[in-house]
Amino acid sequence: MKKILFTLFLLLSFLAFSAPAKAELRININKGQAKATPIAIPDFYAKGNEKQDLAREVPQLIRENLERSGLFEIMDQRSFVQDIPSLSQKPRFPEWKAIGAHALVSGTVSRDSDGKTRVEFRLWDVFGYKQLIGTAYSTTPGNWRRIAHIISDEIYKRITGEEGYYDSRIVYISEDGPPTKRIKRLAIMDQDGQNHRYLTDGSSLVLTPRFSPNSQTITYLSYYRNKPRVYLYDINTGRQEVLGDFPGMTFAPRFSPDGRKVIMSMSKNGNSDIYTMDLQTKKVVRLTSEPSIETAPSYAPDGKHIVFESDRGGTQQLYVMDQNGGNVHRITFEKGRYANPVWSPRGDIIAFTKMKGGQFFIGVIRPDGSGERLITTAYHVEGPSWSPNGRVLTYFKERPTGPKKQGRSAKLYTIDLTGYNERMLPTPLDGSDPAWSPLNK
Amino acid sequence: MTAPLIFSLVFHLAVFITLTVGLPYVRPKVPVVQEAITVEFIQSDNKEQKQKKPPPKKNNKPQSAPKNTAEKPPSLKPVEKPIEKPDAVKKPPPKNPITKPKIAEKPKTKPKKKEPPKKETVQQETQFSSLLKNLQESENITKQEEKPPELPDPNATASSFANQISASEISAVKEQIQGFWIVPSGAKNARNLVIETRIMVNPDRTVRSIQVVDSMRMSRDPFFRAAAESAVRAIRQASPLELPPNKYEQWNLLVLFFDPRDML
Repeated sequence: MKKILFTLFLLLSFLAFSAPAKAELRININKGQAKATPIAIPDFYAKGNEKQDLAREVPQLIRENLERSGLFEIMDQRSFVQDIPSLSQKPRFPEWKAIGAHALVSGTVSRDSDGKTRVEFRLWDVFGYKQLIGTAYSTTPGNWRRIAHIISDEIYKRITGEEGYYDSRIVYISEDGPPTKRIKRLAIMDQDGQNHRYLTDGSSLVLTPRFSPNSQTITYLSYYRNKPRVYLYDINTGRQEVLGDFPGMTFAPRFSPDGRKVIMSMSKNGNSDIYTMDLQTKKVVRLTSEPSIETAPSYAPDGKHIVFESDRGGTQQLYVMDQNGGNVHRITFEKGRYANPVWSPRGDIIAFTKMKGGQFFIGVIRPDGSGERLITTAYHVEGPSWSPNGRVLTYFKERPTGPKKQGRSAKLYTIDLTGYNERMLPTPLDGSDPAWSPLNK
Repeated sequence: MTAPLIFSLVFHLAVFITLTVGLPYVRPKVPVVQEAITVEFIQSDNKEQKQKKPPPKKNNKPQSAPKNTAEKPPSLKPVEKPIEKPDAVKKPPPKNPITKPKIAEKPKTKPKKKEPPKKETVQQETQFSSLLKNLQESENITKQEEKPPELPDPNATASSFANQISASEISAVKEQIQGFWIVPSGAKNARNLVIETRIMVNPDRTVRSIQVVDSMRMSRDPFFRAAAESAVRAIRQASPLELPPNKYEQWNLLVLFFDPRDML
């Protein structure tokens, strides 16, 4: 019996190994389309005839969010074949395929027994005939925008593979009044411009606000009592406090990635250097000590390196140093002056302002100094800040106004880091110095 | 008693093996699925799939259990797959003392400029060289340096066959698929991205199955997954593929390398 089995085993092995190798045709696909992904987002289904408004408003906000990224093509609802009630049962994929949708979003809005609004959504792969995400959220009815932002982030993340940025806020300097008597106030809003409010009353000049990593604190420069100093603002309580007791003027603050320190410049006797201050211990560490100007420090997301601007080489250029101030090396060598470097939260790229030939630019460069690209320009454009996913930059542009070009109009903008898709970000008044928050927790 | 049983088992096994493995010899024209490679279902019932879904990886219950409505950072933990569980209660951002002014203008209608309108760096070979915009004069640009090692020559394996598929036939299907592939641009890891897919093709040139080879990276790298899915979508859209009908033996298994490096 064993013999038979053994023979059989041999026979099988022979068969298995002697099967001819299949010819396989290998092809490199090394080009593609630089297109937005077509996505169909019909209105949501209102269960039990409740929440008819939200069944339209939530998907509308998702459409606006995704469209603004430039990475999605929102399909015209008039081309949709399947109706909403039947879609809420199950998509008929061939119909969505036929109109060219790559992805499909369906959703249901209903009311929980405890009065909360409940929004379910599903993201479908139209070509794969399968569900990619299915999630439900519930919240108080007044908070529906946030659900729409979170859903937008989920869709963005699943389709692009990068984190989203819709559930986030922007703090900026609201500007009003004539050039000689500008009123500047701290203001905060959702990334789409909604839920706008002012944080300071405009009695003191304020500049360069920056979020802490937990989004609850803002550090900024205020000229309170005409003394320029770095302050902290607690968003929940509205409390403002001056940061530290420095002998000179402090400015250009930013939080460290762990939120424990603030890094900033202090200027004394015409020389400015970079310092950190521990927010708990109040311990101050000086990182540079050159006779030249060192300012505008920004941490890498891992906290190990710092990019800053310095004129130690004769012109204003960007340098990178270790977190303890050692190993300083220059990363920009092109013509022109560089300012306001800011390290991307993704870590791979640094944005900056550049001045060259009487014109301002926003540009990006890799931390090793390679790959510099200038992505937008204007008479005056400045102050880039990254979206939480490191994909989009916000900044402000200033234009001369009036017949004699004496006035100034400043507006906030966003742009994709590829350099395309520049959009104005609406603010009630003029705006400058925008700073993007991390994603809301 | 046992001998006939074992014999029967062995016999049936042999018949089965012969049918599955040996059949190509009997009828060489029939395409053979060598291994079960199907990863993506071309057709799938969603209801069924939903039920089969594993429970959410992150159990939302424990985390969001303390429904402390008073908490400030409104944490809304998304329930993973199943829609049954609603989630943590979330509080609106702190109410503000100052009223919110109405926003007048709408943001969205800023003309979308897809193609760079202005002076660009010297327009190179293809439009794709400008996936990343640069306003800087070209002399200054440090050229896209280090190229990762080249992929194996796509024609190498095919060329050893007599009735071989011609270069123009290959480029026909290549261009067809490239016409559908939406390339991930601007992403952090886009330069280190090569997606290898294995595609079983039916005799009628429709795609039977698509497998992304690096399934490990599929599950751990969301960007790779998204890029791979866009490649899979391109293949599905291209089906039926533009392949020479009389050379089925040569293209019943396609290995496609999606490599956006040249475009970035």
